[in-house]
Amino acid sequence: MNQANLERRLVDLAGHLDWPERDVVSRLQLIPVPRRRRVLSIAWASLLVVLVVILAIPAGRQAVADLFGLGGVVFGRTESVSPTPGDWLEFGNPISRQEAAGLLAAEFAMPTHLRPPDSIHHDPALGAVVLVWAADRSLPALLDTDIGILLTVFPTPVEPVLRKDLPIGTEVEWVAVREEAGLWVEGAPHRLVYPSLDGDVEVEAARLAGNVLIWIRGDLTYRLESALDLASSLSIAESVGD
Amino acid sequence: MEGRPLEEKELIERAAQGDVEAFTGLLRAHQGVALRIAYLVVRDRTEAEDVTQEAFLKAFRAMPTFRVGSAFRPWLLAIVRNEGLNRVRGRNRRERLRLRMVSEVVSGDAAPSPETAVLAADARKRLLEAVERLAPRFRDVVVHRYLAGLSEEETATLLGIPRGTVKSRAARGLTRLQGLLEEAER
Repeated sequence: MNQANLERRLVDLAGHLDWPERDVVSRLQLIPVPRRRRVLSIAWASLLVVLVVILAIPAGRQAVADLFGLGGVVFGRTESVSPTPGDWLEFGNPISRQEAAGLLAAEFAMPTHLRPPDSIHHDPALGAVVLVWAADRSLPALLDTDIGILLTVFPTPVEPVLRKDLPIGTEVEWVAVREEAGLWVEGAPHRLVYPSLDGDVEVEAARLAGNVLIWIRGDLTYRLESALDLASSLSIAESVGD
Repeated sequence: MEGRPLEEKELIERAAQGDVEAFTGLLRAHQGVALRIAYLVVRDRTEAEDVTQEAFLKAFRAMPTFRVGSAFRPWLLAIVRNEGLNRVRGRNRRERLRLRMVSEVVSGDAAPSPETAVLAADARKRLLEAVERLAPRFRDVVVHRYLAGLSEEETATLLGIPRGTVKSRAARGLTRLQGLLEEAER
């Protein structure tokens, strides 16, 4: 049997498979997106105004971060964190850019102020896409690694899925990224804690973080980790989707 | 045929502006292949329908950020496939499900004859078993190209591999399939 004949047999087989046939489109209830996005945007702007007022009181700054969190990230305090650089290597399965777009429902966009990432991974525990840039002349290395930037992107959940334990010496600052609320975390290395895959076990020692900028764009939370300063991180964050 | 791409282009532009009717029209045009892609991943009819429905909702939410001018169908199918993969990852300890054929009742007046119809059904069954025995990298290409009916380009986009790799894996997959069928007949 030649390959053309085998191809014909496969096409014939396709006509005899037990494919699903139900009309799922008629079961959809779709609400126009633009209106919802405007509402979300207004909600974040209102929150930011409230926060600016509260943050004017220095003693209230950390309490606000602890209370609110941002984009599924909530903050807690710890005495200190010991560096374990090997944990950086666990990013999840390598995936293509197309797969990343599919995993995030294609809403996510790359920062145009950076070259294309050196690798992209899927972290099933977070349902996140992790983009990795190697350190080079323009990107200082993160802690003791050869990584320049880690950008973690995940759908913003209703309940927090990440907890950051911040040792003394780490500062948290509210910032605006394209008029949306963002958080800047700078100082001593801090630890990221997230639930395990089976959901029940909450604490799983994960990565150490350098300076971190967290912000919301659309329905996604972005988390940029690097050794860069706030101005450089904001420049990258604001170039997402340019 | 020239009218159809223009019509889809217009639907995409309107859908990207939040037009529900236009988006629904796009979904209806690609629903059949979307259900097939979901079924090839989750291998269960009911779950494939749920996966497709959930993926369509995600696609709708993502539509305002869709780049008008790029291909809609591979974009939509990638969302469907990834929704399916997420479900499969969640049940990875279960026994892997298999693709199924429809039950065929051969009537006495089957053409050209009931015996021929039975033989054809048996040949299809053996072919499907051989497809299931292919290594995943070949099986993925073979089922998307020949069972779901995707083009080389669409298969490449969906699986995240270069078009040349789709071509070579399809050729090698067919060769291996041939070998498996011959082995089964011995």
